[in-house]
Amino acid sequence: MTQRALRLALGIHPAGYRREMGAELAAVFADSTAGAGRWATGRELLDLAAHGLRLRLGLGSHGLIARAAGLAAPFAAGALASGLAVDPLLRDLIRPRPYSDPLHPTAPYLLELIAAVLAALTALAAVRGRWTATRLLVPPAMLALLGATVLLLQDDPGPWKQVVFYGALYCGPRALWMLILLAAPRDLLGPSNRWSALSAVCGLLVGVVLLCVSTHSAPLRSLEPFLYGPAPLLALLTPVLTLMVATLPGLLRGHLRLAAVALAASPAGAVALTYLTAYLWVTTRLLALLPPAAAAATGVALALAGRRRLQPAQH
Amino acid sequence: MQEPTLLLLTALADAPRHGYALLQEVATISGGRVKMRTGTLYGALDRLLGQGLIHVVGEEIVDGRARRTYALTHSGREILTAEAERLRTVAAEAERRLSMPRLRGAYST
Repeated sequence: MTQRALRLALGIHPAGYRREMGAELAAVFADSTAGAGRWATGRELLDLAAHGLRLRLGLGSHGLIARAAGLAAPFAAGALASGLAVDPLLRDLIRPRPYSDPLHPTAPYLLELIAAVLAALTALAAVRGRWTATRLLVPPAMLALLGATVLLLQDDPGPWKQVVFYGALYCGPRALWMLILLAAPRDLLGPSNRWSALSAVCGLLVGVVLLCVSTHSAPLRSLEPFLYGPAPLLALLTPVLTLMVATLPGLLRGHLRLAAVALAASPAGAVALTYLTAYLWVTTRLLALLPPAAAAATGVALALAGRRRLQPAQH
Repeated sequence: MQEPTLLLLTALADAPRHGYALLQEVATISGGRVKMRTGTLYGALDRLLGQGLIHVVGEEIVDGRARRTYALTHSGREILTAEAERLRTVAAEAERRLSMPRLRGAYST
């Protein structure tokens, strides 16, 4: 059984890497799990499979994205906690939910509550430097979030485009922050320190501000462009895009922290960009092409810069 | 420098070692607090190889098992020396301050 699982875990690795390193990985796995219980062996297998998946996805810990994700992870944990735990709390304070109303099923709210608790635990574990626990909590939190979103939106009376739009806005940034946590390699995540605590607090603040905007729920509705015009969003979007553009020279010089900041801020930037694009599409269709074009150009430039930077380091 | 990296470089500071020996050394150096797993170890080794901080000094088959031996490069040794010096300075300063009498009013509780 273990041999079959080991073959599966090794099979996830890219063929070239498996040919070169497979025998050694299998040997170290065998030594590590000799006499170990099923639980310990299972965790070793999971870790080995995750290593293969990282390599397969280009997220090995020698890669720029993974290294940036390692630095951005505390921020992402903070932002996730505010997005899944603080935001619903604020929404309840502003507009209490009809928990006892038979017309409104409780299942999505329960799922949202589960996601909120898991997100809060995720952030707590991250701040305390318990990264294995952090990343084990992310997949169930993501499932709860997706389940809650689907259940909440399936009875939405609005047109399907609007439903998808709000679903993506609700899920998108939270899911991106979850992915950042999953993309961060374990060997780049150290114990809690001042940088990680500060980063988590920044994430918490950014998450509260932007996710409240995205769900139309909390006290910051004044930023909603459909009601108040695009100026507040432009003000919000400009620093995010500027930051991402400013990251280019940093990347070229190997300044990893700039890349981490850009990565951490990208879900928030995506929310602002989506709103602005939707607003401009409704008002002046031509202008709507500008923000996504700018974002796409920035993304391509970042990818090219990252690739150029990484090429000499790859082996 | 993150702790897993520091532990791995430290494990290689006195002698070249193969994968499983590194896992054991990391556990010993950290007093059993850090138990690195196989996938995490090889992720870190890939990165350290890419950064030129370690290199492979031998490949052999022992008891039918493949084994690469890793060692610090000159650059890896320099970085570990600098990190050890930094930690030593911080630790010395912490000990110096801890040995001083607490100043009245310098803390809030």
